[in-house]
Amino acid sequence: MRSESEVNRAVDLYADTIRRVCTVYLKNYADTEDIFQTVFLKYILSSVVFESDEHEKAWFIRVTINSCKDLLKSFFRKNTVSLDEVIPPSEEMTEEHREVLEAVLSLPAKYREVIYLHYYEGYSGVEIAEMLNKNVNTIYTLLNRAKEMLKKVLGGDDDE
Amino acid sequence: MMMNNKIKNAFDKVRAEDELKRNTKDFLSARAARTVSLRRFQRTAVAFACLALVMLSFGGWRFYMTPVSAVSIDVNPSIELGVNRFDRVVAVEGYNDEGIDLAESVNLKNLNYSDAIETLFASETMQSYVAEDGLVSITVIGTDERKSEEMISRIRSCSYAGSPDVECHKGNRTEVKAAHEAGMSFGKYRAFLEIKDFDPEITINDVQELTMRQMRDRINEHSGESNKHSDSKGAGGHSGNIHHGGNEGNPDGRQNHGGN
Repeated sequence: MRSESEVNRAVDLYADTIRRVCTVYLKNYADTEDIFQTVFLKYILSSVVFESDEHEKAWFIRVTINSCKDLLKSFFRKNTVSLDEVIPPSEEMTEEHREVLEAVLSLPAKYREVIYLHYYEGYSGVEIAEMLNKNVNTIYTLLNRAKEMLKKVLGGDDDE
Repeated sequence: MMMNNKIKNAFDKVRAEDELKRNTKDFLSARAARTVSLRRFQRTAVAFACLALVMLSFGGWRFYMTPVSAVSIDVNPSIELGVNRFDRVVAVEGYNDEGIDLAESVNLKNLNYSDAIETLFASETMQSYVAEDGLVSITVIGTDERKSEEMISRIRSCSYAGSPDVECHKGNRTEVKAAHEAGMSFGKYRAFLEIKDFDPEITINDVQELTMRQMRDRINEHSGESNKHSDSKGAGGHSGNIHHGGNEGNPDGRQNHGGN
């Protein structure tokens, strides 16, 4: 079992990442709170030794994604709410940021997750495939389709 | 602006609320405390379970090792088998020197009592005594009447017990206790009591070294005296084995039989 100081360090370090993953998958704050508790509890009880900070971060992302998917499968999960409630209020958040987030979060879940992992976390198609336990080609297809969809909504240039 | 930058900037603004972090830390610290106390409880529970297991095993062992019935076998060697609830021999005790030697020479522990009797009679030592002196007395002391009957019928079905030179009796606990206090096996004590009926002055020392054949002969002899020509059981068949000898110190003319 990990010590309290280790856990507090992890919360401070990875809370934002986990919050972002929750934003991609979940529709309300109560579910996000549940996921935070689940993920960090798994961390406390886990005996995994992390080789690097990247390794630790990838572990948190993967555990959060799995926990979110489990929660979504759960019969008892809370009802969904509007996107306004999903996006955490922040002083730094401009109207443009909000629009982009809403565009991403309006996509079907399979597109949302690849967009987030690729554009925000910077993982490659191969890494995402491994993380989500999917075929690499499927990931590229999903990414391309998602890009097309976002382009239609947001306009703007291509990234590559 | 390129799309990837837009997405990156937008997601960058998503931050975990302070309240969320605080609540999570509080939850985890409470949970950790509970886990620690649960582990402490588990450790205590495991210790108690181990103790209970040890006590149960010990209890089970005691339960197994406690004889509830006994089978006393007397030729001249007097030997008594302690039989537990599961019909297994858990104690073998010799009540005279020959009996002690016999008990040491054959391993009867943990055998079913009928198998133990078979093994005992098949042993060379026992065979030599039986060949020498013929009469075998087997006495059964069961937990109750029904158990004694059952044990006798099983013993009678043993190949050696089928011989006419084998007597089977039932005994009771009071007599067994008296026999043990007198330092005799029950079969022999029972024969001693029979002789005592006819000869009240006889002492345990007088019969200690006698074989069962000799004791049976005495009983037959006395019963022949008190009930002339009565055909008591087994009296005629074994008379050829009697070794009579004079006994000057015996006022009633009681026969002193040659010991081994």
